[in-house]
Amino acid sequence: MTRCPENTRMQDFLDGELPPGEAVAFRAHLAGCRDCAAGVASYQSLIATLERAPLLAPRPELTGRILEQVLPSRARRRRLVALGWGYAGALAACVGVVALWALQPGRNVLIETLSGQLSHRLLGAGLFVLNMLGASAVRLADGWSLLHAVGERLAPLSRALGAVLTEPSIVFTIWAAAAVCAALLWWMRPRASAAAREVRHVSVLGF
Amino acid sequence: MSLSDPELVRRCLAGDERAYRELIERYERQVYSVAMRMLRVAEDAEDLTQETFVRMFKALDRYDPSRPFPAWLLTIAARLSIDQLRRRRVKTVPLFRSEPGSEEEHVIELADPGPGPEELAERQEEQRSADRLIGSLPEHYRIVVVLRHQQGLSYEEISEALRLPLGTVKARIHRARALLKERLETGS
Repeated sequence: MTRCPENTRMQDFLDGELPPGEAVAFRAHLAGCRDCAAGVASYQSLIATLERAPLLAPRPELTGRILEQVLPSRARRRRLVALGWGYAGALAACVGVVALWALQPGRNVLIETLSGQLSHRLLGAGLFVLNMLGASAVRLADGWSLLHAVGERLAPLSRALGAVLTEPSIVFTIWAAAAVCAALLWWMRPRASAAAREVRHVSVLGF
Repeated sequence: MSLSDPELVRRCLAGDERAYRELIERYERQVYSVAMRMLRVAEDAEDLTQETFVRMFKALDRYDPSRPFPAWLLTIAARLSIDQLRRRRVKTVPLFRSEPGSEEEHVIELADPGPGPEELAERQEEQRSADRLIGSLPEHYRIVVVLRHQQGLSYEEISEALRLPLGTVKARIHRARALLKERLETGS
């Protein structure tokens, strides 16, 4: 069967892609060409069927899943949780290493010595604090100010600290730890400033 | 009163979390429909919908408000769908799965199940026929038909979304429709 040569223009006509003059001519052609008229009707029916297809609905929990991924507050919480797990993992690893070390043969004596020393020092520190508090109270009662008593008691400690801080390696370690803390705090900062910057950017675009 | 898309975008950028929810709820079904009609597996379509929104929110500061927001969002969904189809050969699972030993088909839930049983049955039949038609097309024809006739994108928007020349988009839509018309006429 020979097709009408105008047949190829049906879809352009339906899409409104034909120039106005050609569209009018094609419409006139449709009145006299049963082949093209049937073809146009068929395409119209097809397009109507395609366009009637409704939107599909996902499961209701999808919205929550997406929000969990995109909300800034939840993203911060996820980062903090990840950080917490990181710390917990590092702590567990350290405990594991220490436990492994402690379980080595011949470590018992050393551990007992170390724990004995530690208990002794803790006891000494506790007694020192009690002594300081007691002496301060007595001096306060004698008319001395509490501040003066504490300062006098802490003087050896501050002298010892001063001596320690003259060690370059210790000073370097302290500064490095401070830098790491500062970097960590900067990384965990609220992102409000970034959002504000984006808003300015959008307003430039003409909102 | 519902907010305009640009206003919602502006609020999202300012950190308003209610605007995030509203933007998702407004366009979730459109994105899911594109994903579902391309991938044809509900779980994959949900994953792709999620990924589309995640990428959209990450790129929100680059959104050009002179373009319609749905076209921009569906561009992301369409590209992700195509990437997904390219990465792996999706197992062809029909939208309507026949239960073993049963002639009844399981129909994917409609977005708006409000109407009565007769109207619902009629709608489901329309959905079936439209989805059968679209599902019978090869992937490169299917995406242009979905974007054009189900999401209402213009030829230019489809061309931009799929990074194809305008002439190629037109030719694909014309061929897809000619193919579907022929199938309808022959009943195959």
